[in-house]
Amino acid sequence: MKASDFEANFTAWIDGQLDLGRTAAFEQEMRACGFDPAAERAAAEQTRTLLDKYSATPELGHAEFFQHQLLHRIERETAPAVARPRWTFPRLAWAGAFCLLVAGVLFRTLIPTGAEPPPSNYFATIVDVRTYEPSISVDTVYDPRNNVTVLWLDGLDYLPTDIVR
Amino acid sequence: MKLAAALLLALALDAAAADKIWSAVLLATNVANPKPAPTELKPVAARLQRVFGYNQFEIVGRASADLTDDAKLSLTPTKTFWLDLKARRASSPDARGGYLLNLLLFQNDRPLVDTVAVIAPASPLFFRGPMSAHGQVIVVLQVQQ
Repeated sequence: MKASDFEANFTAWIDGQLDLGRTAAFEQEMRACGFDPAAERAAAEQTRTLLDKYSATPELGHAEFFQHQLLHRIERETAPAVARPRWTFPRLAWAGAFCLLVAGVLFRTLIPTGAEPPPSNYFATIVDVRTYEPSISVDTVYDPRNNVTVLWLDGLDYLPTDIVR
Repeated sequence: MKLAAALLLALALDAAAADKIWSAVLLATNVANPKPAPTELKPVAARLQRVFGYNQFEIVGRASADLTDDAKLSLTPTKTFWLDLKARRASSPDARGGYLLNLLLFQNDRPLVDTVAVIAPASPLFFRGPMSAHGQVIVVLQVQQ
């Protein structure tokens, strides 16, 4: 609810905030409205005295805490906005954990693990090889996992029954 | 003195006579109920299955001979497939007392392949030969001690 001009001027007059010219004009206006300025001021003083005497202001405990909170809030609201750093500690921690996870997956998938096979005594190596017919080709196949060396001949004729023996 | 010399000679002869070269012609097939691998092939049967993809290996002929340094000999596991070879003891430590072999594989009197190979003892060398009506022909050659 908005106070009227008279009420606003009355409050200012009670609080002594009107200059001399406006004070005289307002007291004139009060008299015209049927109020006695001296009686009104005395009533206001009496009310103020009673309020000061009986209206106890609640005292807050932990004054230092509230003062600290207020100061902190004031500092936060008045401090210039600072750009947040891109790599904060939580982000660094998550990035580190992610890198460890990727490294673990790569290690498990790419690096052969488990017991090394026992050293083998297998040694059969081809120094030189040739065939006598152009239709026959030969490849040297060495399978290190199975320790087998094969001279793989291709282009040989199919053998009918029993000619092998 | 004579006893020591005799012992050394006996040891040398024993070492020289200990090496043999063994060869066999195999028939590899895939059958529903494969026979167990022959005794000579037991150590390599599983590897042969993995490399050649057959589940049965039979020996159709075998031959062996004493192997000495500078040996020249022929191995005739079958009448059809036979080997002519010259052997020299390999000086490489990798060969583990094996031999440098000049090998010539024949089918009847037709030379199929000529190769120089270094083979250590118990390290078989295989020749994948032709297909036959009975299966895949494989020739195996191994130095034995």
